[in-house]
Amino acid sequence: MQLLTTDRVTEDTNPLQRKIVYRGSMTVLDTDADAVIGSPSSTHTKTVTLPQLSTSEMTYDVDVAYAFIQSAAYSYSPTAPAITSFGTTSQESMTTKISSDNGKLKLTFTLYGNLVLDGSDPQLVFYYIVYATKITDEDIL
Amino acid sequence: MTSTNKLIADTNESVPRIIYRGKTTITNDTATSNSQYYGTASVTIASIKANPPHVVRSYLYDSGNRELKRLPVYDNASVDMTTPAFIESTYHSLDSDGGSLRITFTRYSVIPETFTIYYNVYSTEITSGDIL
Repeated sequence: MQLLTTDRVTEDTNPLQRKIVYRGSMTVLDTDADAVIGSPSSTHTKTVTLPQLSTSEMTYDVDVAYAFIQSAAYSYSPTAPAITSFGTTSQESMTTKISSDNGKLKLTFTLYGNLVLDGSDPQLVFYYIVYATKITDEDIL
Repeated sequence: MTSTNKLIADTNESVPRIIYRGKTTITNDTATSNSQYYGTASVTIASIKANPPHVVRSYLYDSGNRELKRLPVYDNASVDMTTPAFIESTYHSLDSDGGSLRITFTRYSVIPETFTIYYNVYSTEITSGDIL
């Protein structure tokens, strides 16, 4: 995970003109403590808290894509949320949630799909981009 | 309202900037034939023209969990993946209301609920053409 910002960058940002303040990625495995809900492997949730990004001034916006990486070769990478193959066993969809963890930005990505992620091919990776912005002037997080 | 028409005119549309922030309430309490509840909410922003259409981003606010879900939301509780079984879906669409931008939010859920939706309108246009 690459850190691309500091609190100062966030302070400098015009909340009406969103600016990328963080890029990150994470690999999802069935063995992750927070990865699997339900059976068989139908829901994978990954949560990350970014201690550098305070939710007291910004609410942030997030873009996320997920990619299936097979033997280091690109497979495919939908931008979430995505609905693929309606009504088949490969159906996938994804939800992005923005919240606060003791004043720091918390992101929750949930991917629904009949997936088994045991570390062998393909590997599932979430890539996300955080923008500093104010969705609302209200204190909601 | 966080903008004026002058601000829109001043804005470089290649650098997206929020020109309007708002919120509305959506209640999905109309039963559908497949055991879901449906609801819509529309807002018309008189100060923003429908054409060319602006980029809009919106968020469903869950006050109980104090979290925002980026729209569109598609949450699926089905374990039997051969049948789509969304427990909730929420999305927005754009059209023209007498020449002004109208945003319509639509929500389906297995539970009738009421939520606040926050939305941001950006200075960037989806296309330079009149399509709405």
